[in-house]
Amino acid sequence: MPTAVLDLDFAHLPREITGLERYHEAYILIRLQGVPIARITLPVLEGRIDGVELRTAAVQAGGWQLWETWLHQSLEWEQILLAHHPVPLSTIAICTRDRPHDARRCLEALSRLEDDGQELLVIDNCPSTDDTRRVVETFPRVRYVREDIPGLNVARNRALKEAAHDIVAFTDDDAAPDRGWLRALVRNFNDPLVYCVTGLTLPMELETDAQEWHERYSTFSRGFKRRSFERASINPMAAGQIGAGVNMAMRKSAMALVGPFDEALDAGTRTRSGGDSEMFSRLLAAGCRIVYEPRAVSWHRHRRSWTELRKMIHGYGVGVYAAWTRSFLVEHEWSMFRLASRWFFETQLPNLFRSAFWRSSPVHFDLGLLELRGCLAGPWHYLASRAAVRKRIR
Amino acid sequence: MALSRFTRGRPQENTIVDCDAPAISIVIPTRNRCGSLRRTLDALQTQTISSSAMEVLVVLDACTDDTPRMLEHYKTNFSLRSLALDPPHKGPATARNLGARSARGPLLLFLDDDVVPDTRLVQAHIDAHTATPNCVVLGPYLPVLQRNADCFRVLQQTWWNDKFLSLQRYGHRFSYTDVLSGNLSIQTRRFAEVGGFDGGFPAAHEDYELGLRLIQAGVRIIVARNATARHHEHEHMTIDRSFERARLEGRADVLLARRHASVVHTLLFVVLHEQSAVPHRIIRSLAYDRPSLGDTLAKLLGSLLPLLDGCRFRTSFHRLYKALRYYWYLRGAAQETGSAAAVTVLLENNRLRSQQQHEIDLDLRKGLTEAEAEMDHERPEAARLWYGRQFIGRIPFVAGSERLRSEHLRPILASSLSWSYLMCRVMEIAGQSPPARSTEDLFQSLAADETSHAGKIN
Repeated sequence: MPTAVLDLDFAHLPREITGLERYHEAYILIRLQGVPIARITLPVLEGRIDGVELRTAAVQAGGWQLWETWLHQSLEWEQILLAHHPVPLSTIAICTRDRPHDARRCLEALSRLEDDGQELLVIDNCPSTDDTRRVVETFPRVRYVREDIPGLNVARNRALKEAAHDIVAFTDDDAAPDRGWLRALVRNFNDPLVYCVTGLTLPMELETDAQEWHERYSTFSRGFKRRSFERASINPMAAGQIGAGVNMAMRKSAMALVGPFDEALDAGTRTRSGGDSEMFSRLLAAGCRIVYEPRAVSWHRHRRSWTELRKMIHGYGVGVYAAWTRSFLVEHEWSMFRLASRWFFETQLPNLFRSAFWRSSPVHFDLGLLELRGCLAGPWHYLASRAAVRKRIR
Repeated sequence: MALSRFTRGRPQENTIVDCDAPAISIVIPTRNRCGSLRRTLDALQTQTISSSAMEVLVVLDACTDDTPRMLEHYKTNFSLRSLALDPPHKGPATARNLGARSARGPLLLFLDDDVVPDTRLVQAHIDAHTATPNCVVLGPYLPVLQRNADCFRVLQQTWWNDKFLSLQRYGHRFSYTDVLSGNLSIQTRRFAEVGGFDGGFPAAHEDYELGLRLIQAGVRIIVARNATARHHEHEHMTIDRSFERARLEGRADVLLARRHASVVHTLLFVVLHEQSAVPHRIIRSLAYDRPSLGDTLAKLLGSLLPLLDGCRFRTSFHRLYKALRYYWYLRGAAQETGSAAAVTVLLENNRLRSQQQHEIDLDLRKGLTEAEAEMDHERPEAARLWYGRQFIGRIPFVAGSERLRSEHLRPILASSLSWSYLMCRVMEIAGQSPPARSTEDLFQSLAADETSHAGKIN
């Protein structure tokens, strides 16, 4: 049975929610005057959710976060900060490839953003048809750039080169950012040492089994507390936990400092993912700061079919180890061995073992096995992909 | 060597109002960093402000390199004068004082020779003085991030970055340790009134000392966000030099303690003196009682640092580096005091003095705006915060910090006092009838109370 995804504000919680006959559960984002506070899951009985139950669950899950946010609002803290620290100018880049429907929805969401003078850029990566271009032409403020070499990282590098402003916010085409998304992301760049900011990514819908398993098995959400990462607080090799490329912003000047995205990594190449977390690792190693900002909410449409999900989970496994392989080969990061072996023996293997024997395990056996297979193949895929990039350059 | 453009020794006091006086005099002390100085001068040529509005005074602190020759042939569009101090070198404090004495402009801007100003810097300083008369203006000089930075470099640049970040935060309460002299401007008259820098200081913390006197005199400190510059510290700061610097800081802090008893307890050597953990005791006993053994050990361990860095053992590097820095700092303090016992005596003497504090009571129930207005009116050193008859907490007296202003209130309520302030607000609601029965009710009535309150204001 599917799960309903709801976005509710504490200021106007309904007395009762009805009309959810198709669902057995509800996944609810709770906000206070627009600020995300907590996520709750409630059962749906006969298509209804009781208002009292909803309110109780919201206050409990909100905890200190709720009280503190309320206090800050009563102190007019946000308005003061906004007046004191101006919002820097930025460029939004959507890297897309042959998904004109998704691209349209994403662009529609982006045109609803608060206007801080941002530039909008679509990087059409190696398109097989003209559809995306036609979609983009219906949005007058958006600039269209065609990049013919396939690869998400190639597209990201192109976006960094094309962007008019120093700060570039990236979103995937299958995501729909919130109205306050950009402002929440880029405000963190008032600290000159912050080179990258990631946001909170939530599922747009949980209609199929595949989508539910995606959310359960490899959620993008990293909680509701703002966190700041630097080399002293996190091993650069464990940067995957900071966030993902679906919802991030970075400085163009990072290119000069740590080099561009590795074009042998991520979607469109044999390594399939890992380009974002590998960039995070390099930034951390160079002494930069990365911030996780939960106020920057974006809604991601997870893969609907089981086949797509399997492909993606396998890709994640490949990407993680491909990125680590790169860190070792190019950056000489020895600590990656310790981390990789720990993750393998302490997390992945036990999870797989559990999922094979316990039915209620959070890990699906099929997915766990796939990911593990991906991990083992990762280093070889990276080497092959690197060779392919070299050949192309020659 | 032709020294026609040089004025040697002490220049005469210039008391006559000069009609062609520049709007601002920029003083740059320098010592054997010819290339670096040249880059700073080059950057001053491209300022947005007209070059006739500024004069530049370079003070050579016993330079033995090519600097005098470079200055002689340097082509500028602004008025450039050089002053020289005779060997042995006297340190930046004396050099800046000399420059300040021969300045013709009503404003003084001190720049370090490794600080490269952005194009708007000089204008931003002048604007800040126009907006707030009689203040000290600090400009952020941010580290130039390095590709492939090692552990040491990352530590340095993070420190500088976070320092300027905290100064720019809304409601920052300025302390004497915020007064950094690499990009600082002040009225020439004001600078002379407080007596300039203390020339008795080594090349460290002379700016803190000046900052303390300025804060005590009630001078406002402002950060001009646009007065940015790039700090090329990485070119000359190495691990060994940073230890040497730590030693100088140790010496300087003892001098600070002697000159200004009020801030003794904020000084690092006093804080370290009161630490009882074993590693602290070892470091202390080596620095004060067995310096020859300590020096050998510290040098030996210091040579391990690059090795730890090379193997990417970052945490071990940080720990060892911190310990060694403490050691060299205490070595400096020990040189100046003589022994650990002398520090104890210093503290004992200081304990007898009691500090008169100006502390006020503020009732936040009357409204935040009223409380803020009262803070601006009273400018107290500390405050007791109340919500009706409920005590929220204190904004404590902090030695060497500026008096409280209205901007200080909300940041404290939003962070360190947030819990108790919230509790006071909740208690008030909870005391109303009918009493709230659950957390949810409480939150609801609190939110409702706020909306009705906001309605009243509007």
